[in-house]
Amino acid sequence: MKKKKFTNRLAVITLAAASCLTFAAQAAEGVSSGALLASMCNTCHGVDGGGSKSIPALNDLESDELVETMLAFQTGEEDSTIMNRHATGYSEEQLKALADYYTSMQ
Amino acid sequence: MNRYNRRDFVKFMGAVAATTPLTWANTATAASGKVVVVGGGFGGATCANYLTRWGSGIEVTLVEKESQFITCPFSNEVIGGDAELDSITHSYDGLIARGINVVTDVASGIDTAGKKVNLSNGDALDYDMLVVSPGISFKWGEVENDEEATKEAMPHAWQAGLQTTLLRDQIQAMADGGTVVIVPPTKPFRCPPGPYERASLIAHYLKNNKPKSKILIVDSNESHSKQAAFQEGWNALYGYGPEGMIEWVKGSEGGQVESVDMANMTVTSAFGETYKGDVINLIPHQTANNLVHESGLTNQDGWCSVDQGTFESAASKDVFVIGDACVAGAMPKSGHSAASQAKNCAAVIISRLAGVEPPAPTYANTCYSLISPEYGISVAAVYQLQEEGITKVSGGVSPVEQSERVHSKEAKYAKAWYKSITSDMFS
Repeated sequence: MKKKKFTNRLAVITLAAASCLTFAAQAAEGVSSGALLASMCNTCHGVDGGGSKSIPALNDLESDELVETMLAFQTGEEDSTIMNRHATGYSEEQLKALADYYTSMQ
Repeated sequence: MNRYNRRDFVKFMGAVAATTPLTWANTATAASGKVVVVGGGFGGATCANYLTRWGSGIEVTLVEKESQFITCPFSNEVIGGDAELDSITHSYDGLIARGINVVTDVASGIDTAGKKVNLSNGDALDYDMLVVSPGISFKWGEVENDEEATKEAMPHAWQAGLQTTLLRDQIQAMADGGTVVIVPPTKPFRCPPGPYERASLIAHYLKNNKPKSKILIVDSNESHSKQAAFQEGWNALYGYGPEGMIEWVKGSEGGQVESVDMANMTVTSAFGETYKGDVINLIPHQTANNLVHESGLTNQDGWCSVDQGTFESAASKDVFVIGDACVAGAMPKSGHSAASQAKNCAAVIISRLAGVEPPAPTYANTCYSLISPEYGISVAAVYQLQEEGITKVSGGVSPVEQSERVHSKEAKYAKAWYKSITSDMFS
C-alpha cells in the first residue's frame, strides 16, 4: 500500500517537473531566428522595422505581403535599386520566419 | 485506496508555480551576467544596444574613449563641404538611457586569465563575457614619414573629427588649378570604397568652386571597390583620365607610394616617380587596433581570428572580437558589417548566458557611396556560415548603365541608410 502511494507521488512530481522544464525552456528562449533576421533588415529599415526616410517600414506589413514582395524582388518582377541583391540571399523558409516575426510584433 | 487525487495534483502544481522564478513567467530571456564591450563604434555600440534590447538581466558596460561618436560614413560629405561635422556627431545618451554603463576611458589592457579589462584611470572591469570592437590602428612606417606627415601637412582623415575638418579646410584654401593627391592604403583596410567616394565628393566641390583643379589618386592597389561604377560616374560628372578631373594610377603603373616629403609636398613611388600635391590626403596602411595586438588576440597577419559563427576569439575563450579588427570571411571591413556581426554576437552571448541554443547566424552588408550628393551607387550582400567560413550567397555592386533616376534614388537611400543605422546603434 505504502509503496503504491510513493510511486504515485513520484509520478506526480516527475510529471510536474517535466512540465516545469518544458515551460522554462519555452519562456527562457534566447533570440529567435526571426528576430535575428529582422535585425539585419532593421539596419536600413529603421529601428524595429519602423522605416527611415525613403526606406519603407516593414513592421506594418501583412505576413504574406512581405514574403511575396521579397520573392518578386528575387525574380525581378518587382523593380528595385538594391533589394534584388538582398532578397536572393534568403530562402522562402527564412522569409516566412522574418514575416512571422514582424507580424508578431504588430 | 491510496492514490493521488486531483486536489493533490492541483496543490502540488500550485506549490511549483509559487516557487517558479518570475523571469520564466515573462517573455524576456533568463540570461544574466556581466558583459563588457570595448569600443563604442558601429560594432560596439550596436552590440551593447542589442544586448539590452534582446536580453533583460545582463549588466552591460561600454568602454569608449571619446564622449561622442563622429562617424567616418558621411565624413566625406563634410570634407566636400556639403555637410557640417555636427551632422555626423552622435551622443551616447541613448545607450545610457537603455541602462548601459557607459565608461568614457581608454581600455589600456585585457587580462584574459583574470577576466578583467584594465582602464587607463587605474580601474578594472570584471567580465563574464567580453566583446572587443576596437577598430584599426595605423601601421606607421609602411610609408616613410607617414606618422609625422599625417598630423597636419598631409591629413589622413581616416578617423573622423579634427582630421576631417583639417582636410576640408586645406581643400577650401587651395587655389584654383591646384592638385589634390589622394593616397589610399594597401588592402585590407577599413572601408574599401572610402578613398574613391572621397575623390568623388572633393571633385564635386572642385567642379563647383575651382574647376581648373585636378585630383590624382596614387594607389598601391591594382583594383578598387565598385571600380566600374565609380569610373562610369567620374566620367559622367567630372571627366576621368588624363584629360579629366580625376586620374587614378594603380600600383603596377607607379602607384605604390614608399615615402613622402612634407617640406616639398610630394609623394614618391617605388619606381622613383614623384607626385606633387597642393593638398595631400595620405591614408596610412592599417592593422587591427593596438589593444588586440597587446592582448594576444591577433594572428600572424595582424587581425583577429575568430569562430566565424560566434565571433569568439580563437585565442581566448569568452572573448569576442567584431568589426574591422576581426577576420570575418567574405565580409568587408565596413560599419554595416560590424553592426551585422554585433547583432549575431549579441544573440550568441545572450543564448550562452541563458543556456539555450543561439539562432542560426545570418549576416549582411550594405554600403552606399556618393559620387555626388545626388548620384549614389551601392554594394550589397547577404552571407551565410558555410564550411569555409562566412560566405557571400547573394549581392553585388550597382550595375553600370543605370538611369539618372536610379542614381538619384540610391543617393536618397544612402541618407536614409545613415539615419537608420545611427538610430539603430544609439537609440
